[in-house]
Amino acid sequence: MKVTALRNRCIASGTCVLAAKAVFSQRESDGVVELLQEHPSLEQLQKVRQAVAACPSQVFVVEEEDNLSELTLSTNDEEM
Amino acid sequence: MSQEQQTHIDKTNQQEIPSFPFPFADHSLQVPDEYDRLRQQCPVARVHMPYGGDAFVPTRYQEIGQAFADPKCGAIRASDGDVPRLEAGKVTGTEGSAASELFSVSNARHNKLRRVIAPAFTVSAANKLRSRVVDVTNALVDAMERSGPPADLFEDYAIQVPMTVLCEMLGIPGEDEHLYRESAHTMISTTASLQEKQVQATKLMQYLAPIIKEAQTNPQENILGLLVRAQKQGDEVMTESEMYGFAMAVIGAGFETVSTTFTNSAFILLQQPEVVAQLRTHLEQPDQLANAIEEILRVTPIGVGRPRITREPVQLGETTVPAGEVLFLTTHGANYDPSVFPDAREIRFDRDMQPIMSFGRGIHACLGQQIARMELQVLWQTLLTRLPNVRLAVAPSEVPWRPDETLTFGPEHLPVTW
Ligand code: HEM
Ligand code: SF4
Repeated sequence: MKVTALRNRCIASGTCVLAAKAVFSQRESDGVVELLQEHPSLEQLQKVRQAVAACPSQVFVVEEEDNLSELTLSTNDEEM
Repeated sequence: MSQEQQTHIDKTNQQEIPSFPFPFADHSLQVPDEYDRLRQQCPVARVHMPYGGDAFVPTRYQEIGQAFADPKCGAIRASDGDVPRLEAGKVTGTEGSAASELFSVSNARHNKLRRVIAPAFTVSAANKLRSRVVDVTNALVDAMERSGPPADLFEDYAIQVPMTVLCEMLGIPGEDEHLYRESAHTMISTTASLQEKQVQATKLMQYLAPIIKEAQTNPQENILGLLVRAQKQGDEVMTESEMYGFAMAVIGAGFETVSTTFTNSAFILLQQPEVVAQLRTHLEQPDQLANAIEEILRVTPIGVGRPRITREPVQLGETTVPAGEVLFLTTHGANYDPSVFPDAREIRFDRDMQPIMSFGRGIHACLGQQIARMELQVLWQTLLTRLPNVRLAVAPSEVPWRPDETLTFGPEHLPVTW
């Protein structure tokens, strides 16, 4: 499963950090989401899914949802 | 038109269009059955608003969340004029009103502005404040014990905590609490006239002016410090009026919400001793406490909700809402949707939790939510640890209730004994 954070949409709610604190953090300068790991272990899958669902601002885009062989996270900072 | 839609319309024609807000029973925070009826029969209902005509009220989780988040459902602006609304004066949070800037900008600038003060609201910022809140709550219980029961859980406890936190976060003096309370009350008043709101806003601005000046020469590590540093970088980053608007919005949104949530949740829980007993077993483990507070937030209604206006036609489930219509979004409507939270009226700390709607969705979702969660966790933790036998000191029907004149509702005082 691939998860991309479209960071321009981030409103710094911190909800993803609550759901998966081993994977997500917030930048000190502006509260925007940052990744602590790009290839977290599959044990984090459930928590990452919760973070994706709970994000109030639809920051995360999920691809290859059914491919559970690995979990890959990345960020995208382009203007939308 | 689908057959289902036709039935909705037939039904609404037969039955009178309900008036919003749907009334809560006297001395009760039980979400009215009208929500269940509408969710089944007409999930995006036409309603009469107290002022300005008719609006739409979605009652299902799905459409409430969608409308909070959809950029086509914008914040109401002063230029929208005499829209269907709850308030006698202007809609709270529109341009030109006190708490305007953050609530009403619906564009790319919103996220940039919000990020200026976001560092004060992160999960880690909230956690750093936790030990301070533990001290404050314990000192308040000390004082309650010294003067002996009964105590007023609202005045002696619930309001003091967010007020102290807010003053420290912003960098404003605690002794002027009465002014912040009066200002927040006027901002969310449904009865104050436009002029009364403006007079109160001007009073608060004049009060803040010297404090902000001082922050400009000597910025501290607090929200005013973040604001003045941003404003120094020029108007593209933050204008002076945006800076004032922010400070005022945080005063408007930062303590009333938490004190009402705590007081209302205590009114609900203290009538269910078995639930309080369960909660007592969830206080030690941080994850368990956090989950319990999510459930408490879910079941606790605090206010009538937030409006949006459709800037284009919007498809909400089966219903097409035309452009230019006001939608009224209640968080309890979503939080009590049984298709998302089975047996929604029951308080269960072991739910497989879906995201609660209490803090809204979309770009305006609550900025203070991590601070609020932390405060509510500590408020409940300290109360039940220190006073495990806390209970209502009067019958629920004797609890003094707030007059129906603001966007929030619930007990005005909460007499408890232990
Ligand atoms: C349990 C307590 C709280 C609840 C239930 C709550 C609820 C909400 C909701 C539903 C919204 C969205 C409004 C909309 O979409 O129109 C919101 C926005 C907001 N809240 Fe809270 N809130 C709480 C506590 C706080 C605290 C403690 C603060 C600040 C210290 C705060 C600051 C804000 C601000 C600044 C916004 C506007 C955000 C924006 O427009 O970008 N809130 N809140
Ligand atoms: S939950 Fe979404 S909006 Fe909130 S900090 Fe994480 S990515 Fe940003």
